[in-house]
Amino acid sequence: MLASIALLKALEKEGVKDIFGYPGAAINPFFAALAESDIRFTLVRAEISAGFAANGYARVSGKVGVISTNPVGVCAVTSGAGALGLLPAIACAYADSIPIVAITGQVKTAEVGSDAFQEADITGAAEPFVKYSYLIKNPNDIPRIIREAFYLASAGRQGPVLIDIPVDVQEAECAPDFPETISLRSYNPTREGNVFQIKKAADVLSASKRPLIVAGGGIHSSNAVSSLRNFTASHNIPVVTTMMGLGSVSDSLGMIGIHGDPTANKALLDSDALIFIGARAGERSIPDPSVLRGKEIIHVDIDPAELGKNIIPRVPIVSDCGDFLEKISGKLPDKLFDTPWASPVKTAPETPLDRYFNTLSELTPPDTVIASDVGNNQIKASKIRLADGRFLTSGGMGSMGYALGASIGAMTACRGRNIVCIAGDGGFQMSFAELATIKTYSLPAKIIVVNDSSLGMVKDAAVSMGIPTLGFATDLSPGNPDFTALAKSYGIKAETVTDFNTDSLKRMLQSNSAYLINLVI
Amino acid sequence: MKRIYSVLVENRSGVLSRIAGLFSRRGFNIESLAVGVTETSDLSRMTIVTDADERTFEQIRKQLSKMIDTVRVKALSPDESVSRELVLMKLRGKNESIAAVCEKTGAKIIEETDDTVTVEITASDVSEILTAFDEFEIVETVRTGVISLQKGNSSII
Repeated sequence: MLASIALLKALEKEGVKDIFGYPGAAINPFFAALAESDIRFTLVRAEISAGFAANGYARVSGKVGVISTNPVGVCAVTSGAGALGLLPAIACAYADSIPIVAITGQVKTAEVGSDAFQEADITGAAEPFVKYSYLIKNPNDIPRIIREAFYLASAGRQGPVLIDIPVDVQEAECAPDFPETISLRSYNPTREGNVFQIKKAADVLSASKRPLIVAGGGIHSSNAVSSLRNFTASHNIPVVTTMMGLGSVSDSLGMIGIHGDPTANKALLDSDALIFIGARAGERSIPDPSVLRGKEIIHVDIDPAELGKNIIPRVPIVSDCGDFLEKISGKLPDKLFDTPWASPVKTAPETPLDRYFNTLSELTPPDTVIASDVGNNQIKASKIRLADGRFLTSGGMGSMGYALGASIGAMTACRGRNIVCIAGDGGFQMSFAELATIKTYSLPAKIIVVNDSSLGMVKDAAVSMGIPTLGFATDLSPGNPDFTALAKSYGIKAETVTDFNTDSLKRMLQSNSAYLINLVI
Repeated sequence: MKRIYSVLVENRSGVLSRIAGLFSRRGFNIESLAVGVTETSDLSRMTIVTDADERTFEQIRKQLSKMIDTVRVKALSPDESVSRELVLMKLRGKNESIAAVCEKTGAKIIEETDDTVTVEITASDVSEILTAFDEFEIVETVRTGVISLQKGNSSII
């Protein structure tokens, strides 16, 4: 059997239904096999978008009960510049622990190391940003490596896995033996927390008066949304989230941290015990760890290396989030508190943009997926409250151009679910070529370009850092296109809104096809 | 504070660069790193000497353990382990004087010419012995880095 066909067969066996990518000479044999396979292909317009699409795909597919595809996103690109173009998206997935498998073509085995045309040491370059990587030298290793790659991407702390395949290996004949099981003696992540530690955590919780749950992205990664909701409802323990944890409960006090909600940050200060669940307590969420002094801290994470890294917990627990919530429930009374000691404060939207997004949350179904880019648009979008929604963003790496690619992935995974892409005029211009992808595959993208003709957050940050003269580097107005005309040139419906008129949202949401709002603010 | 980790890893290409990369990108210090295949050909063993405070030392252990190629990580305390480092040193000086220092320190002459003498030093801590040769002109030195095993019948697995 041709190795490229064995590779596609192995991917099919993993349940792969979709691949996002961009071809090139060094991966053409793979694409030839892909053409014969049942796996659907989405051709993006830049390699980085293939990685963002795989990211959005993985994050939305991971929700049990919504769709039964494999929760790992897959992308495939060619060697050299192609692979390097994907690299920022690999780093983005690593920073947010998103399970993707990236397949890259490589120059012929004999040419590796000779600085051949379109040769890049991608496994070397990606090393700091992958959970693991493979350079396939023997085509007979393909079935085992694919099995391992999908296991590694999705087990324990999830993350990207890179598979680099020289073009001659793709074209080689092989005798594949597809293994049923995986044997990796060096990788056995702990899923179940230590019972004594869980008992200790239960004692800390029982003794506390103002406990607070800090829910992070791990709640989504471990499909623990319903477990967390049941737990907080039973015990009346309030919840705050990190940016990656947004959407984990419907009645949270909000997001903590630098761009957080005052109610959430106040609750953090007022609490006497904190349970960080699937949150790494990074400096954006906990800018000043000294505020945690005197509080009892329980830290639950699937990755042992996160415990004691940013904060020192009294009770560290290595565990899957859902498993922990189940186990600790067994050690607590049916109801810990009659009422929560802190409740969400419904504040009236302050700015016209807040009001506009508030209307969006009222008009769109409660399970809508918001994919946001990076910058002020992201912070504003993070305030949109949807009972069963998801908030997809590049929380760790802050990758501009993320939203459109991630939306393509999310729409491919969940046809029928409302996906709203929110981007600033800066990030949108790093990715707008993907309007062609949206057009090609008739994806019903709902796009809001929050257009302030500048790199708003950079400008604001400069001012707060005492650098008031960054206008020359943040003003986008001299070159900005007419985004409405731009979208229309791709055959996508669009309108420009200059007065925050929310009728535009109705038109966008009622459209069966893609729709772009150029929201001039 | 100087501390030692013994790390059992899969004997695969790329492992050394992964481990070295981990130390450099996380800002962990490496005093020395010695690596070689073990009695089982598919496993390599690294001895890493690092200078770190307690919290960093613990973080190094966790980050090393997290690597997919890592089979086992063991911190070795000086009291519970035996260590050796090998040094080869090419010296210029009076051959008889060099021989006398070797005699005193337990170093061995392994090659001798009219111009230079190459000595071999093996010790748990070679620094003191190296100082004893300061009086000669040192042409070049090469060190293996420290390797260590636990004392008694304990082993890394």
